[in-house]
Amino acid sequence: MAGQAVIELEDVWAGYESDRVLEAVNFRMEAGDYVGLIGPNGGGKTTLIKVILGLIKPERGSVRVMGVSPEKGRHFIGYVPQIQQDDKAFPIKVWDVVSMGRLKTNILSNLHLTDIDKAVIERSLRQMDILDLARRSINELSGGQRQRVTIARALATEPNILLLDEPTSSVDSRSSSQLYDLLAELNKSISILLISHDLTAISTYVKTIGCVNRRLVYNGQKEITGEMLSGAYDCPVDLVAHGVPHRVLPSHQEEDDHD
Amino acid sequence: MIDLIRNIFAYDFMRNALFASLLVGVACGLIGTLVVLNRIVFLGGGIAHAAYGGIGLAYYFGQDPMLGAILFSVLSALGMGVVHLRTKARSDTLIGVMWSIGMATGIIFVSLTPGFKADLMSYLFGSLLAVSDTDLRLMAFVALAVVAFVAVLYRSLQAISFDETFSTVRNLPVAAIYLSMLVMIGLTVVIAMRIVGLIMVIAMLTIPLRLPACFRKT
Repeated sequence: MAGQAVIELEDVWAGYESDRVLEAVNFRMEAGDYVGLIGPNGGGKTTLIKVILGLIKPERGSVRVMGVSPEKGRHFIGYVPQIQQDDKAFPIKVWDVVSMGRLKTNILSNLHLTDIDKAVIERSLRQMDILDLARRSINELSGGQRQRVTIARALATEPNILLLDEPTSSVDSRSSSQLYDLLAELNKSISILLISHDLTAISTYVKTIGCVNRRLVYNGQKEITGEMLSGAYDCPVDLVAHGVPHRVLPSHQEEDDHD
Repeated sequence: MIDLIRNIFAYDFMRNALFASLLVGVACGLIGTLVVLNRIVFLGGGIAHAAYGGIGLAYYFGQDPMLGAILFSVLSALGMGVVHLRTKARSDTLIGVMWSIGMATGIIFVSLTPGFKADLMSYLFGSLLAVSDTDLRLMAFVALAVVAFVAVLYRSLQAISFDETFSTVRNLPVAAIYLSMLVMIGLTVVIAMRIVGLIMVIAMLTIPLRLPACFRKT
């Protein structure tokens, strides 16, 4: 367990004015990890992402990304936001969206794409298997294709960590399993943190699972433990609903635990 | 035919009108795109009406009304920008407040100013034929500034309009870009107001931008 910590949260408390959403969150993610965090809507998943990206300052506790503050460390994160379907009217080509991954802090150096920029954009498009869509307007794309564009944009930042927010929310189940295959491939070189309310979808692919519901239950294991069930009561709703040929509940777990 | 055109443009005011239209057209085309994509059309209207407060105030104190208009529109644009960046929410009410306070201030001070003030109507409804050489210089300056601004910051403006959060995570100076964009909107509103009037500024910022979308295939 002596890997380098890429994301580290220590006793983080965070929330909005009168409403605390996260309490006493401890979390450590190492290089090469593939972590799936699940939790009910309103359980603090989005807040956790914002804290990691330095968009919200926690009331208490420390956040480190690649060993530095999130404002500096987020540079190493390829952020894949949930795709917004209401953005449909924005006239922009796939290539231009992905090229946003190459933007530099010094705005004057953003005048033109360098040859390196172009090569990286092309590689990212190819990695997501959408190079042929480069000249298309994003408004012509399906939900699955748009999601790939968003991931390609994150890859174009040449990230150490990929942070995905509900990557399959607007994707049908076939494209979503293709998407997870691609992510598994990417995980060979990039650490991945994935946040979703859909437990069954991610449980087959990620290396470790945690639960967010105000508190975070994460002990670097793949199985949902009784502790998670009681700690984050709502979590396994999706588990019951779908049912996959893969056991995420320990075989003799005490279901009475989550009273 | 050629003679007719030559005769028309023998008049200074006709030449000024032509150049004013061209300059304002360029500025509004570029700035309107940003306004529409960022969904801040209403903010453009608010700035225009807030500017009337500046016109009234300048008139009362015997200053150039254009100066007052510039000051008020830029300040209100910056004010709204700060609110947007701080709260990310529900700025429409505030735009309404700014809109009406600006208008009210303008009318109060115009009424308090003694003497003849027919000229003030031209700020409400515009007056293309009354564009002076000074106005024209201001328009040229603003149009040039807008072109340079968009040319240099094109990719950054595209990025913050498309996805502000992603731009923040990339450590782009989102606040600085956004505020300078609003200053440019404020200046463009002032020059457009000179020719179409503050009531119709919104038309200049939206209609030309929406038209191509009606005919575009994709």
